[in-house]
Amino acid sequence: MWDTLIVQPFTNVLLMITMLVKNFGVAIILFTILIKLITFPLTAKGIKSSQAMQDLQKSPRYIKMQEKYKDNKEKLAEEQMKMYREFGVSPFSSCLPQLFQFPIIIGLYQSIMRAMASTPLELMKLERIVYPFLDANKILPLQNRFLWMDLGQPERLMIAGIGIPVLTILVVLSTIVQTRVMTPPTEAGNDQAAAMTNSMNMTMPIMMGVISYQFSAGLALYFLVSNMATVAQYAAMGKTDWSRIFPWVKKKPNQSKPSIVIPDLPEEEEVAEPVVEKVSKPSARASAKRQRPKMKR
Amino acid sequence: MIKKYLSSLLIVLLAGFFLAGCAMGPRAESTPGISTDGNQIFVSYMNYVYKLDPVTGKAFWRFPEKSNIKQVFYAPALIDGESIYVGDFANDFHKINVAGVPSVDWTFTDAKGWYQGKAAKDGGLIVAPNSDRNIYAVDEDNNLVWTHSDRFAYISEPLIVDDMVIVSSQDHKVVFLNKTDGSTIREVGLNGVVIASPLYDAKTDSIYVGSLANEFVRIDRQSGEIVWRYDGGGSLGSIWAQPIIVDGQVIFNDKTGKVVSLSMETGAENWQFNFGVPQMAGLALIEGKGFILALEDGTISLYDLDQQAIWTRSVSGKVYDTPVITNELILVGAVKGDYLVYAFDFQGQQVWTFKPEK
Repeated sequence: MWDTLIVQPFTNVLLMITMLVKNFGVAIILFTILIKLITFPLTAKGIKSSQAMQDLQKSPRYIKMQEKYKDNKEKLAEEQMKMYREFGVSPFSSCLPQLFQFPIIIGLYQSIMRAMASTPLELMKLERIVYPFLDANKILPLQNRFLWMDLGQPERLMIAGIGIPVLTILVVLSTIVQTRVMTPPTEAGNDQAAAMTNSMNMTMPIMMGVISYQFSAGLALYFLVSNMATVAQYAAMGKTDWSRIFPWVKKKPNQSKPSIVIPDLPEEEEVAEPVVEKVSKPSARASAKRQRPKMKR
Repeated sequence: MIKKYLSSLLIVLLAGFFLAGCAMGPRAESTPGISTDGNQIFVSYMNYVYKLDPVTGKAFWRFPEKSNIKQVFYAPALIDGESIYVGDFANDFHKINVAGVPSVDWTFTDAKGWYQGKAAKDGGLIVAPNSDRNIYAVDEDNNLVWTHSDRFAYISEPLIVDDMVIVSSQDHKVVFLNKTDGSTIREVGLNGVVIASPLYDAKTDSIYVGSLANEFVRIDRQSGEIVWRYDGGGSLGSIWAQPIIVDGQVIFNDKTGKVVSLSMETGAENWQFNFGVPQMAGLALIEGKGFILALEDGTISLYDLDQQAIWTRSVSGKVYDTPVITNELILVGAVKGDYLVYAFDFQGQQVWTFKPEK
């Protein structure tokens, strides 16, 4: 089912591109960019939702609410959900688009691995999933030499007798850039979040580097192009803070408007005890009605 | 700030390379490489080469004693008396003394790709195909004699006949090389990838081989001329394995489950039958009895030359490789099953099974 719906069509598209450009390396690059373009609306939605959530969580009203119900987790959760509903923000809306992309990314990875068949058994499995109209005999074997690389083998550039893993280094660097672009800056004082972000920023490049160093160059090439395409997508949406990546770049003043406008509650509501909340509820609604949340388009 | 940033980056890179050195092995899916000289049995699979007891199927030993995650063996070992020659996926080719406890005589390390096909030996010359697009010829003392380069990986066992090395190429051809220096004598083009190793018949002085382009040919070894080509009127599927020769017939199978017998001389069809079950493994000849047919689904049958099934057995797992025949046994390698190797006698009784210890 998975193979028929995802891996087989992806592999065939990849093979079609290979037939057109006559080079498997170029085909991997084009195919990765194509998939990134197709999934861009989902990425954009995820970025917007994530931004809206960050704006909401930074709002004084949200912070005050957290302070107020810090000893009552159940009530805090209830109030948070209320606030999310009120401003049309869903805690899942930022991760759902990413989740939808997951099968596509996994399918893309698997199709590249499948197309790089190197043993007779892998070749046979590849031959079986090639659509009849493509004629496997004309496509196979794939010419997997690209620049100095053999895409079926781990990449090393021989310089003075030493094999330098250039592609691995590029993958590590691009993953560092990508993780920094994707992870929002942590608020001062939020030690746990900062620790998690730092851990993620360290772990991801190492993991990708290990895989790229050990596995075939074709896969590493895909990682590199995918990372660069993701950074380009964030840059296209104006969400790239280059000063987070390159410390010598001066941080630009934040000129962008917040995704949503969170009005602060009137003073009496802020101090209202939870027991009188039922009374204050209509007033909160009225307040929200007066200042409707505006989603940034 | 920049200094701090650079030192963090350096730590990340160093950690990455450190982990890379010990983390993973090569990623490839393949099948057990079984080889025999009639008396000894060797199985190459994953991180070891095993020497099996032909009577019990127990492993006498495995090489290397301690596994190296990068060292993966799938190529069948070439057996030469008390030595074997076998390549691995760490790009190394070894001569191993197997008289007692295995010991490495030498390792050839020039290749940059994996060894997947079995090596061939003639006199003092060992010829090993490699996925780095080269065929390496070394002597018995590990001196490189010659290298032949091409555009695609070599994954099939070469054939050495007189002064020629003949090897199937994925580049839609069969290549004839000069055994002395590796220079190209000729290339015979076919319509598709040639994975199956060529088979030589001295009587007709011809090479018999099929390709993935649904064709089977006879090539005259001296002239390189294609004497005849068979495609079954367009009904033939791709051919993945070497044929067998018996009683003036060349018999082969295609991936669709078809078994075809042709006249060696003219290429005229003698007979054919179709199982309709995919098969990648080739036919294995048992002199005087018939041939073994192994289907992908694990069905193993002995057929006589009148196409009558003498017996049929079933093994657990998928069978992709041609069964190997010893003096008394039929060895079937399987993947994704209960055992890695199944041994049957010629009457179809299962004698033993082998499963590597974890």
